[in-house]
Amino acid sequence: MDFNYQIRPILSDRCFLCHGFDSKHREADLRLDTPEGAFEKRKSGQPIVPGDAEKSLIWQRIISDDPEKVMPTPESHLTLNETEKSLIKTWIEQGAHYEKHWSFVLPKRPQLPEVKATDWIKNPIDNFVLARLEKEGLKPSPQADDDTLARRRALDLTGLPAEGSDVDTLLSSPHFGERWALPWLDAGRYSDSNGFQGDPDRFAYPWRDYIIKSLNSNKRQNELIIELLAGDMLDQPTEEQLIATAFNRNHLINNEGGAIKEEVIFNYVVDRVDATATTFLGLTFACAQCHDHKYDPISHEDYFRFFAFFSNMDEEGAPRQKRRGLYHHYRVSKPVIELNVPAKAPYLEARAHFDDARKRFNASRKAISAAEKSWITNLSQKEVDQLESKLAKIIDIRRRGQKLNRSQNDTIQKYFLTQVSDNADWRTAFSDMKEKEQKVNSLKEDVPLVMVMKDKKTPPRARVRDRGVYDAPIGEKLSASLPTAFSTLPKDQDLNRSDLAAWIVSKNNPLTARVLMNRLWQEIFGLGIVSTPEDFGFQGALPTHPKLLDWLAVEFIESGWDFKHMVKLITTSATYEQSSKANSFLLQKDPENKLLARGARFRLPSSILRDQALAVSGLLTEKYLGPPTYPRQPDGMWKEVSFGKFSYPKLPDPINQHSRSLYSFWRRTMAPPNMFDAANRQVCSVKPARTNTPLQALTLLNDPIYLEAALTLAKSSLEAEDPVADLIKKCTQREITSREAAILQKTFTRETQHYQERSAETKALTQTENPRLASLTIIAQIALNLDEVLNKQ
Amino acid sequence: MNTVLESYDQRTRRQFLASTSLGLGSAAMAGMLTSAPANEQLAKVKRVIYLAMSGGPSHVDLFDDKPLLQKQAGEALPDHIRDGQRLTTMTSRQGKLALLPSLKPHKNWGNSGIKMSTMLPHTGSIADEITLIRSMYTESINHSPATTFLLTGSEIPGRPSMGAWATYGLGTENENIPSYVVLTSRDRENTCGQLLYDHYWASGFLPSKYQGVKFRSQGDPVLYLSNPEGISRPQRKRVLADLASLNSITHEAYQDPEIETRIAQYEMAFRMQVSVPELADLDSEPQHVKDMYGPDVERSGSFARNCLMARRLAERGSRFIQVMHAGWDQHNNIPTQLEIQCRDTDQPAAALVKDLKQRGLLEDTLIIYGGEFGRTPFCQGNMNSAKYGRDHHNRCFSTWIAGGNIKKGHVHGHTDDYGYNITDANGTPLKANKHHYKEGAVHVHDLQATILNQLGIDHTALTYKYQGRRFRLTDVHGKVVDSILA
Repeated sequence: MDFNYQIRPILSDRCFLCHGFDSKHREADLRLDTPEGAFEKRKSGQPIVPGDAEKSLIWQRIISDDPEKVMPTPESHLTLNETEKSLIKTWIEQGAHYEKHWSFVLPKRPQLPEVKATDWIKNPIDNFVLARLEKEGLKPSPQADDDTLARRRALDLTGLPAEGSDVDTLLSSPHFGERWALPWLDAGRYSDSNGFQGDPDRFAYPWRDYIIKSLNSNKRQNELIIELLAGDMLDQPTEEQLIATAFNRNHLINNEGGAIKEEVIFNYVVDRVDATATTFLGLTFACAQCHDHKYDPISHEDYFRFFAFFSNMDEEGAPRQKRRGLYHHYRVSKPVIELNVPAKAPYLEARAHFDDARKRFNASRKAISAAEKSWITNLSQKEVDQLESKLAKIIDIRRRGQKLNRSQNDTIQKYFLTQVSDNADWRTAFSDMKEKEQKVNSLKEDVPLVMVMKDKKTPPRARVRDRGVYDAPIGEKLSASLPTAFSTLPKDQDLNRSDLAAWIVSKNNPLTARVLMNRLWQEIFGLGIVSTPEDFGFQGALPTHPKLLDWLAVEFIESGWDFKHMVKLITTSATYEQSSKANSFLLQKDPENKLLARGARFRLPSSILRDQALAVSGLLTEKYLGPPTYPRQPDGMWKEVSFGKFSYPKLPDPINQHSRSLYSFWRRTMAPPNMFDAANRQVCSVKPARTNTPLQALTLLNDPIYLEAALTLAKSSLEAEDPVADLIKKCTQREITSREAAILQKTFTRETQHYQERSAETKALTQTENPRLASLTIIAQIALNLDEVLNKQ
Repeated sequence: MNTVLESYDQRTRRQFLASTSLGLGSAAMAGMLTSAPANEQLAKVKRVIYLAMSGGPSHVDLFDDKPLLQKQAGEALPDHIRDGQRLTTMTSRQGKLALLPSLKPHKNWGNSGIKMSTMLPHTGSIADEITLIRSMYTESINHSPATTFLLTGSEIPGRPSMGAWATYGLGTENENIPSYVVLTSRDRENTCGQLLYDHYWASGFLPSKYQGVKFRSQGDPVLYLSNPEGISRPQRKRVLADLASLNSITHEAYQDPEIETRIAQYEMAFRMQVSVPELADLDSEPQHVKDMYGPDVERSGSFARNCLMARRLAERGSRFIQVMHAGWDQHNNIPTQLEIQCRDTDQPAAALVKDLKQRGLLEDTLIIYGGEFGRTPFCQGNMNSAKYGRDHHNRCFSTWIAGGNIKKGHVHGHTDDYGYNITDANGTPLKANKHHYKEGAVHVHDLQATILNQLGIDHTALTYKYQGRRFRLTDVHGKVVDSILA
């Protein structure tokens, strides 16, 4: 009997909601998540009597047919089936042994399991997979053919189909970083705009570029994590290290007129907690915002102690820092850094000049104020009435002894100095200062602002919020710390984000390396070893290959958190190289391919589908890093969502039209319309969606970018000896088969004839009068929509 | 570990492929949902049309007449009425909260005599068909969180929307048109600052096939619906047949059931290319029907056009139709703007009820009309200037609801003489909150529970396991408002 695998999942899912970790909502004061709770002697008896199910109260309640007594209660809509009941009974009878949750125990490098078919093994990964297959009486599938394998590797390592097949070459391609940035963009809820009302732009791409560059340079991922979480707290941080911390500033930002500052900042911090806990710990911290976690050992207090790590900033809340954009306006909120672009030097110089001029002006400021005051006091009402109404109003306010706001102050000061006072020195100092200020203002527009983390000098503190509501603080201010269940750090010390980051990558943390390796596995095989990458807690799925996951985690740590090393290991394993052809036996036995008796086969993400179409047609540009691009989308979509406020720029140049999808401008209120199944980029997301709908078919058939790719492909194959075969080869990276050729040659002939009779349609499709080109374009559309091309197989 | 759903998807697919006809009935699909027990026996309606009035329509001007505001016009709202209520930062710095009377007289409409503004004559004409809830309340006083809350059950974007939950629970009635459709329009004056974000119809953590399909008023109603120029329909058909043959070869080799699904989805896409334009083509509508919706029906993208579209979608089997109209956020232009808004929405909304009724569809449709919150009975800005308005108010607002099994000509709930707090029939404040249900007050979660209930779905049982937790539209709250059910 295995508690972790067989019993806790049942207890957690059916019992812990009311009899678990949450102390405030524990029914009958009974907890079953600890042996102390379960074996406690109570008036009515003992909930669990180890070794004796009949005497155990919970067993009696489980089998009761009295609706008042039976557990789980009918109102819960939860039930136990017969197998589950008998498992619980056996477990109790065998002594009701509890074990620590698997993911909370530090991973140790496991022994490689013995296998029979030793000549299949290419690296240790295969030992674990094969041992399991042999246990289940299964055999691995044969190796996939070379062409299939080459395409599979190229897609996995670079997100492009035809980059060659040598693993080391692929790993050193700049496209590697672009491909592997994709899951980071989803987890980092990357967006080029703020979301909410107005949805103004932000400078998000420096963070995206930081991720791509870090992956390409194979930055050790423990360093990467430290920079993402606390780059600002490193000794003399570089600009890159500051940019890294935007991971925790990528959240939505609320610009709404009535938004309450404390509330919006609270929401930002909640998002940081969620993103950090999900991305690095695979824990569902969010569940403890309003009360103790129902399942996992994260108390309400633990939540707010964790919250404290991310709330120790002087934050602006609303985005008040502005920059004029080429197409839209930027609005970001402090803390920010001014990006070190070429325009920064002249800007800083101008600012220094301005500071000097301001100093000169301020030297006379007292005298000016006095003179201005006396002028205002001595003005007659008639003189006031003759002034512009705006000035008259300001003077009136001043005379009533009320304070002026900044712009009123500026207005009256300017008028006084330029129109009233005859002091030439003052005038010169004023106009000099204004001139220099203007220069600063115009130069600063070219210096992007990146939102970053920046802690106050004082140590982090936070108060618990009743029911998780921002304006209901209760109890004392708490210092920051890890949940008690994980803490190997002292609780009473003043910890900060850099301590948190150090713990996350430390050997004392059982989760992070496993969580990262699981996501790597998920990207390559379509399904994680733990199928709930967002939840490694009690309610999460159990690993299909727990020892393999531990081996990967330890290997990763001991390699120095070397990501490329791990990618290489996986993509050169015999497990990886298997053919993905299934048969009815395998489909029956293991429909989801959890055991890996065959290679992975699943539909490519929409962003890679677009990249692939651009690549095979030769349209793809060499753009690497930099500001977002604006590939064409159907007219009026932004207008519609924004009621006319945004118009999508029409920029026909290749960089904007034909660069990789990860560079496309991502508006938070409306993702690029052809990016189906994309993560919503509003909150952290670590599990890709993969659906199969008619709307996707319409996109792939009718979106102009796919048509353009088809036409370009057709043009490039038209002069080939066998245009159809040439085109199929470009799209599939293999030779056409005779059966395919038989079908497609007929199509080619038929559609050529079709267009020969319809010159207007030929023209409409190809802008030429060539019916063969039109027909071949149709063939290219077919090729780009082949299931094989839409899938990694 | 969304095993229920995963196996559901698989079974659905298998079922889907096994069935000779591709149009799979809702019963078959609903029957497979172990975690989402839509019960056809309990279902009172087959579909929902939500007329979501974005921006916060003023309840005291439209649905909840308060003569006292006339009497005490210009006087300050008593502190004990406000009772520490949070104000938005737009009025929290304003000195006096001066009471502002209803803009236009109200009158009793129909045999039921429901009192509503004379600015809503057409709504008045359906007074005997509706239940007017005057005691709605919600959590947030800002638009985006409040609208997100109304439509997804959470103030923070990212959860599945009500329509996604409903279609997840119900399945599809007609595979050739989307089950969950969103139609949007805005006020004529384009005054509003509110965007209609796609998270208002997102699927959140539910599979993305449950997300709302936004019909567009410009170009193709559904994105990428039309064939490119130079590709004809018969040609597309034969080309897709070739594609299917090629994909079948791949299937022979790989045996992946997803390949069969893909072949079927391409066929369905082809059929949608006919069914959707037919649906969006209003030429077949007789003039007298169009006239019911008013002259605006001829304007693409108008609320009137969208209401007529909603009826056509309802007829063809869409399950959840979300018609959103922005522009109710009258902070500083209520004297001019409110009347225009009423003119744009009053007739079409009423026409939709009448049109459904004359086709016998009202009895199995649920129509809801209302905003994300109401507006303050006090004035924002200077009452003596030309530009003034009302701020957001979340403690009470009005929503009407009509259709299958909803009481007709009925008013539910009361507010105090200021239209500020929900009270019982005697005027005593109810002080309900989402944790403490009180009969007579309708929290947004209660409305959501009621909507699902009418679809035959128990809101406490419609769950989806994500991040280890069984999520619900109504969180751990919500109670079906039985007293508005006939």
